[in-house]
Amino acid sequence: MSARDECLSRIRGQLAGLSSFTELPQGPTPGGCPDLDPREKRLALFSERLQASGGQLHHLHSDQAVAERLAQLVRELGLTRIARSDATCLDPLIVTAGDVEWICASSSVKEVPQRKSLFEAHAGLSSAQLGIAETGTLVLDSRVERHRLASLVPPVHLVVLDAAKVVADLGEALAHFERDELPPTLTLITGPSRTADIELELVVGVHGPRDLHVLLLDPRG
Amino acid sequence: MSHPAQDHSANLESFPENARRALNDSQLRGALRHATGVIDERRGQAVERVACWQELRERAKTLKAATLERLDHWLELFERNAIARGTQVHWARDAAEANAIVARLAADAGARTLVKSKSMTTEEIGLNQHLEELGHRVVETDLGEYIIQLAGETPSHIIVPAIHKTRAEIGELFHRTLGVKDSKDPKELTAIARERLREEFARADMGISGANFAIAETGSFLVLENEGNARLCTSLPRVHVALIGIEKVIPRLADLEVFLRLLPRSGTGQHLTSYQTLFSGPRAAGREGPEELHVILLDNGRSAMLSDSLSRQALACIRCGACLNVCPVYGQIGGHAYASVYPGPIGSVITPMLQGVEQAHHLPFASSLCGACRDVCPVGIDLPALLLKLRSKVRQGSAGSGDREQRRAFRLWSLAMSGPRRYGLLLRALRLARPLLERPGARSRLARWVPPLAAWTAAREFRPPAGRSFRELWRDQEAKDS
Repeated sequence: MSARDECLSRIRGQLAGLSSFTELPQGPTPGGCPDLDPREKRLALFSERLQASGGQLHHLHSDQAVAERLAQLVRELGLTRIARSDATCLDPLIVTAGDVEWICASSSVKEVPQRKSLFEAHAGLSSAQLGIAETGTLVLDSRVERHRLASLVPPVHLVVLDAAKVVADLGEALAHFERDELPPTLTLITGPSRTADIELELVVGVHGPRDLHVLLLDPRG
Repeated sequence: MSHPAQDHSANLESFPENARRALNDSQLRGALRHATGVIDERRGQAVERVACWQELRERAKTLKAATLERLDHWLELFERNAIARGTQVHWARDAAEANAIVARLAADAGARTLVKSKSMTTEEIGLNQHLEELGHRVVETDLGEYIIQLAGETPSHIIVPAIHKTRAEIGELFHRTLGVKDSKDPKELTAIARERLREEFARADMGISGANFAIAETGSFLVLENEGNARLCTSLPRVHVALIGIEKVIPRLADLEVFLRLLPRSGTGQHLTSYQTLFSGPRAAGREGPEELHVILLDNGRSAMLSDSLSRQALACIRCGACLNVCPVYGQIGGHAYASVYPGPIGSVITPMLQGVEQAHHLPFASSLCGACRDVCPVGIDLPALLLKLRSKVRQGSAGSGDREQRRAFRLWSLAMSGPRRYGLLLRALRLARPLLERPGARSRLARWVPPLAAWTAAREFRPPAGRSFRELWRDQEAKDS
């Protein structure tokens, strides 16, 4: 018997005597915040939770304001080498960001020069596909954009998020991907990389970014 | 202080000795008291802010029970959907089979360096040792796991593997093994680990992870973490292998919601960990990530725990570690004394169930049955009931035959307790012996004469009966009141 068949037959053997079954719970999961309207309330909660988890929020009201804030961050943080995802919405920002060497995301980091430049980047720039107000979380869909590494390897992550994409809670975010097909990798990001493995003292930026800047584009706000 | 690397199966027998040694280690006990206290306080604060916590626990408990009752169905569904998305699914009856599968995949990939994210299941099967014996380099990348790998130790906590180590010890360890300058600053030590591990991520050919949940209806699995090392392990190497216990499957994507509310709060007191990654197949053409994605579904004794509703509860565990932090026994002796991969209350339950009660017969007794573990468990596992069940199993088996005298004493006691007259008679008889017992040295002499008393008093005080019984005092009080 194959390992597969034997595992399954062991399980069936143990469960064979069962005569009544527990029903799977249905309906919404408790603890969410599905009625988070109007949108101002939703964005306020997103902003509060994002900052509580150590991220920084820049609430901006036009494309131009986003471009200006990005250029300002580039200047202030001294970012001269930035790894960017392939999202086309970033193209106009890059023109005005200042004197920066841009490293474009690639499907392979096995080639040494590619990897070296990624590892030496001062920051990563990407967009995010969703925001979750309940937890201040960003959702990255690997089908839409090459941002797995740009959001992870450099010490600073700069993210552009459309305010219209901020959903109320985890349930709504998961439902979004039930309707849609799931991408090979879906990443949820809440604040910077952190550890407390040494005497429970919080240290940020252990393997991922230590700084997370979210540029929230909210033309209606 | 040194905690030599342990061969878990060989040392299960030595629990009483390990516990005694740990109790004499004041530095260890200080570190444990601080750490478990802090984590539990954070957990309590996070839970307090969720008004519907009990409802969430109830839902998770029901969900797990319903899933485990039809586990074969959900596993087959998971397999079918995972394969449809290009994931390669393997099954392993036991640890040896799982190790052999990973070794074959590593050989096929020509992998020399393998990077690992934190996974208790890989600890359970002894994966690192197996791969190292075959000549592979295996690098733990979670900071806590990296520390204990450098020290040649095993994790002492499910969530905080190096909970028993002080910053000074870690600084000295890094100085000795990595040749860096001695430091006691967690920030500096973390930066050193980041630098060193970057090189390993860059050169690794294969990444190994566990999984917190596998989703049947989508063939996906989810990994929770805080550091980003699991993301690096599963983004940079060409091949990603995930080892997943068969009990980790849940039916629907939407079922993640309840566990995402429960697990981070119970584990570290966070409302959400920094990262969750949901894997649903290898990369699409031209995208980032591993070209191959393998899932190994591991039984290794789990299927035998499906036999009845109580032992099935132990399979509902989501490995948050909350029961360790509140356990008065764990809090005094730490994880290493258990000499089992899974320590604390949940370890005292699942280790005997996975490895057999003969092997781990001490562990069900490593509890005061205070019930704190049951109260904090986010999926409502009745840990004291499971411990009692295992105790009776141990006593029925050969492992407990040495306690005939204790059994006889309890039979006498229950006889005396079965009627008020008998009880009164026993108390009066004991009281008559009181002057004898109060003479200097009488108690130790008595213990010598009556061997069962010697065993009883080895770890307990023998108290002579009081001059007046509670019942007599009560009667007097009532007489006075009326």
